[in-house]
Parts: sequence; C-alpha cells; structure tokens
Amino acid sequence: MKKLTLLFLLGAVAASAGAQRMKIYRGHVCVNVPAAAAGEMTFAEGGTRLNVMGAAYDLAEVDSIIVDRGEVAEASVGVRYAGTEAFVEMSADVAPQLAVAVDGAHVSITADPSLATEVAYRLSGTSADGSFFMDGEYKATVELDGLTLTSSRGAAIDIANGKRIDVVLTDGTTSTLADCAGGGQKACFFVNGHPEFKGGGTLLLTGNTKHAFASDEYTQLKASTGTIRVLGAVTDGFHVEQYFQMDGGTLDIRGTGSDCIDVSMTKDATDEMNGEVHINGGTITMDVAADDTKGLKAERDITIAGGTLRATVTGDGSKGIKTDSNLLVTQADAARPTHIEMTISGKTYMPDDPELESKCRAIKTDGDFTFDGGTIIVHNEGTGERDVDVDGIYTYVSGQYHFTWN
Amino acid sequence: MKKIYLTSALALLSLGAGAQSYDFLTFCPEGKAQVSLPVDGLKLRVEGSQLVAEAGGSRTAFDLPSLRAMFFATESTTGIAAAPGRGETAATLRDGRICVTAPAGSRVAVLTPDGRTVARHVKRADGSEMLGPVPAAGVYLVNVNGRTFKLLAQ
Repeated sequence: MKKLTLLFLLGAVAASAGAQRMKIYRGHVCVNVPAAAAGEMTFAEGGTRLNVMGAAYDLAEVDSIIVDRGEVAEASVGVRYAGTEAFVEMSADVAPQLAVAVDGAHVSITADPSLATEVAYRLSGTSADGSFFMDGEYKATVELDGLTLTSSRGAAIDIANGKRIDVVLTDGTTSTLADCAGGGQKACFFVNGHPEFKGGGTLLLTGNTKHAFASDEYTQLKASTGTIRVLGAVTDGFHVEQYFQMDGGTLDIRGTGSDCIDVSMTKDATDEMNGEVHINGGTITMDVAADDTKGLKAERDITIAGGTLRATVTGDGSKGIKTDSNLLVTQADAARPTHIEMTISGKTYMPDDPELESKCRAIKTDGDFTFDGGTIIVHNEGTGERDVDVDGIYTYVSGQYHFTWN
Repeated sequence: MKKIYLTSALALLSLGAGAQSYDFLTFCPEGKAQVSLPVDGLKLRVEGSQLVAEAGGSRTAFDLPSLRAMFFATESTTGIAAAPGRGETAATLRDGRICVTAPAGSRVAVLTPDGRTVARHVKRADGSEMLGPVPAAGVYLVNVNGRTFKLLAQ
C-alpha cells in the first residue's frame, strides 16, 4: 500500500510539473496563453502593441498580464456570471477569431467565419440580469455548468449559430434559465441550428415571452441526457422545427400556455425527417392544462419505440398525443419498454366559433395509428369523450391496451 | 516486484521532468542583453512608456519603445547579448565552445560562479573568435572588457 501511495504521489508531482500560462486581462475579458505554445511574443508600433499567437493586443487596453500555473484547454471559452458582471476567459488559439462584447452581465461572442475549430463554451455562475449570445459558422459546444441566468433583454441563451450545437448539462449541476416578459425573443433558450443535448445535469426553463425552448432545426436528447424541466411558458414548452428525437433523459413539461412539445416542418421539404417525432427512450411527463392544446404534437409521423410517456390532460379540447399524419407505437428493445400512460379529464372545448370546437382525447391522429408493442394505459375521468380518435386506419399487431373510466 | 515499482517511479519522474517547465520569461530589449525573470507570481503592467514586471517584491522596468520581444524559457538567459552588430561586444556558446565578439585587444576572462578563473585571453582581431571548449557542463561568467556575460553549458 505504501508503494502504491508513493507511486500515486510521484504521478501527481509529474502531472503538476510545468503548465505555466500567461493571462492577458482587458476589462472583463482574459486571454489565456499556454507558455508551451506562446513562442516569441513581439512588441510592435513603438511598444504600443503586443503580438501573441496571431492576435495583436493594444497595450493601452491591457490592464495586466499575469503568469501562473494552470492548464489551457484548446479552443475553450469560459463565461462566469457574477451578479451584475460577467467575466470571459478564452484560450489564445481561438482568441483572434472571436469578437467578445461584455455589457454588464450580457455577453455576446461572435466567431469569425474563418474559424474552423469547434469551440467549447462553458457557462457558469449567477446573474439576475444577464444573457449569453453566440454566433458562428462552425459547430460548437455549449456547456451549462450550474448556470443561473435571468435575462431582462430577451433570451437568456440565444445561439444564432446555425450548425450542430452540443448542449452539455454538466453532471451533478442544475442550471436555471428565464427570459424577460414582453420581449421579441422566440424562446428563453433558443438555438438557430440543431442542438444535441447530453450530460447528466439538470436544466430548468421558464419562457416568459413565448416558448421555453425553441430550435429552428432538429433537436436531439441523447441517451446520456439528464433532466430538463419546463417550469412554465407563455406558449410551447419545446418548440422544434424539423424533427425531435429523444433517446434518453427526463423531460418534464408543465405550466405551458400552448403545447408541451410542438414539432413542425421547416420550409425546406428536403430536410431529413421533416416534421417528425422519434421517441426511443427516456421519460416524458406532460401536464396539458391549457384548453385546446397538445402534449406531444407533430405535423408528420410520430414514432414511439421505447421509453415512457406520461400525460395529464385536463385542458378542455386538449390532446395527449396529436399528429397531422401517422402514429406508430412499438417496442424496439425489451430492455427499454414502451409505456404510454395518460389521464384525460378535459371536456369539449367550445369557443364562440363552433368551427373551432375540439374534443379532449388521449390520442388523435389525422392519419393511421399502428400499435405493435408496448403498453398504453388511458384513465378517462368522466369526460364522456373517446380516448383515441383515428381518422385513418387503426392497426393492432401486438402490445397491451388498458382503459379505465371513472 | 521491487524492480517494477522502481521502474514505474523513475518513469513517472522522468515524465514530469520531460514535460517542459517554462520557469522564466525572457525579455529582449533591442540591442541589449536579454533579461530573464522567474515566472512564479510574475505580473506585468504598462506604466506610461514602460513595461513593469513585478514578482516577489522585486521590480524591473523595460522601456517599451525599445522592447523587441519576450518569450518563455526553460532556463535563464540573462546577460546573453542580442546578435552583435559591428563594434558590439558579445559572448555566446557554440557547439560547446565559447565564442567572443569584441574588438581586437579586448581582454577576456572566463570564470566560474564562485570566482575561479578558467581561462584568460586577449583578442587578436576584431569580430568573433572561438575560444576553447568549456571543461564541463555548468554556468560560466565571461568578462569582456569589464562586461560580464552568463553562459550555461549543458
């Protein structure tokens, strides 16, 4: 045991040796330069500029330069929110291609189109009046590491980057986002591109103007995803264009003024799986309380092949699952059984215009419904309404279907 | 088993030693000798036309308009002159031999840090002249007409 301890200590000594870095501070922005990569740093223009790894720093704007020991991860940006301020640290290898603006606790970072490296943005800290905006033309990673952010100016997080965005929920952390009311933003957390959620942390969202979360291209929840809770939204909880795919994780949506999960087609008819929903695992819980709204809604096919979906449908005229096309419920893997359980108690929605009358349903399809595996349970609490309404063809192949009526 | 542990320990230590440790930040004033400062706790600030370096209570100021460059170094190169121009004085190490650049008639003394004289020489000609090899690895002080250069032979 003593020998193992000695080896461990030697390893720690070896690992901690070296790794000096130089930190260039300009206001709330710090550039981290690894000593091993710095090379020759030249002074120019009569000593008014310092050139470091392709970037020119105006020394009149440099507050200080400090040398300490610490690792500098390549292509990395850290944003730390602290009340009315935010501090940005970025690695020197990408600093020349990132335009950073910090206004109080509102941070904006735009990557030059020439940047062809995936930058990892790590957001942490707390602010009651802050936001994060990011744009670029290359895929990126945004990690939420115990971030609590409320924005007074629009979205809490606005990713204008139209590429693949890995959204990592740091294991063991909870991040909470809320946007301002009465703004022009599409969502509290908006991604222009296609976000892929992963990481075992927790994310809480509140949409005070419109949706809690929205993406203009597909959204995926990977198998490693932790927990995402929509605490409330003026309109949809999750508003996704192109397709929504869930392979794992927990998604809990309540307090919405409109649909819990709304998936619509993009304008490009050639987009892959356009307007579809694919549930392969994980757990979705939906509270469909508003009138004439849907828990899970899609313009095209919905396929549930694994995982658990629970919905409480109390809104008049509301639906647990609604598709303008076809529904397939199956069970692809016995290790990840398909379980759908809904309680419906809403009555018929009867607005002034009778054309808009809508009945409360657990499942409503404009196309076909094929049931081939898994379990569907519907508790009908005295609505007098049908549980399932299929405009197309209903086909039963396998699975268990349980109804209860109060 | 003892041999395995010993080998592992040596491997770990050499891993640490092999990883470059840049313990100095070396400043290169135009036409002057380099100055190496230890990096631990080093802080740089611009004060007017000077770059001020502070660490551990010591303070070194560099004239910014005359400052050419700086770089991280694994060893101190303080005293190493910039590439000499005509008429300038310099002492460097080349292939294990001491090379002195100075006018003809310059008096050269090579000493160890504790003051022992290793060699004395009077330059025969202007420009660079190769003196003998250093006897062993270590630090040598080369005095040329009263100006001292510090060389590290490895």
